Amino acid sequence: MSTAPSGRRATTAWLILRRRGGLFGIRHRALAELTGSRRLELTGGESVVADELLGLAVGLESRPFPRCLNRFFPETVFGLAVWQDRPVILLEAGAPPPECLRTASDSSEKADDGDEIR
Amino acid sequence: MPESEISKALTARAGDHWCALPLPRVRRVIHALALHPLPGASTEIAGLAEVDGEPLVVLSLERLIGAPPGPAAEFPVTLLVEAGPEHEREIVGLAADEAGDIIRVDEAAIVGPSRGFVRGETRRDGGIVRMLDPSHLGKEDG
Repeated sequence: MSTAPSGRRATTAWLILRRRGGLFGIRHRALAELTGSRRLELTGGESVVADELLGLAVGLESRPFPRCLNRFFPETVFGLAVWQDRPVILLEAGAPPPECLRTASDSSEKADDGDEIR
Repeated sequence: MPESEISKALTARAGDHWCALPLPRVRRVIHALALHPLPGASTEIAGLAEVDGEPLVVLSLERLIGAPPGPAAEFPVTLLVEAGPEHEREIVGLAADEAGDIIRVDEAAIVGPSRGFVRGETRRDGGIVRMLDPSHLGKEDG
């Protein structure tokens, strides 16, 4: 369920990462440790796995995830934003990260360059 | 005898089905957007897009209504519609295979059981047009 206030440009810094083709943003202050691998430890004790760390973004303007579509995407997220002309899913601090970020990468996973579907 | 209520709707093709969306709920019709994955989403969500610097969730109209595959889309479009209840409208994208005409719909001619997002059917030009109700998008029966 989205919780972002709409249209607020915050000074929060977001670490942008790619996972299974999607772009995700994690609040910089929610990070406990970057291990140097693709696993990130969060302050709430969760850890997430990234396919690639893309950079740090400041000044993202968040929009709520449409509530009417929660049935199709039941993850708890802070909202949506655009970074370098691409949509980003901003994660809610303190909430369990989406399943695709919690699943450990294994050797059977294909590399996904995250480019356009069409 | 009361007059029939006539409304305007925009038709669009999704797979093998023609549908119609109430015109007041349609914000824009644009060329099909480049989509990016939303991992973990159900198959009804085609992906995420960017429109004029804003993020947009795009759904597959074909999957939403369970339409069988149709002719190849020569001019696929994304319809920006206002979805959800009247007091809480939200902009979403609907990916369709083509946009059609604006038609006048006789509400009394809409038949069939309402299944939330698909509120019924009406006949037009010898074929069936499925009338959609964006206010029910995302509900359990829609």
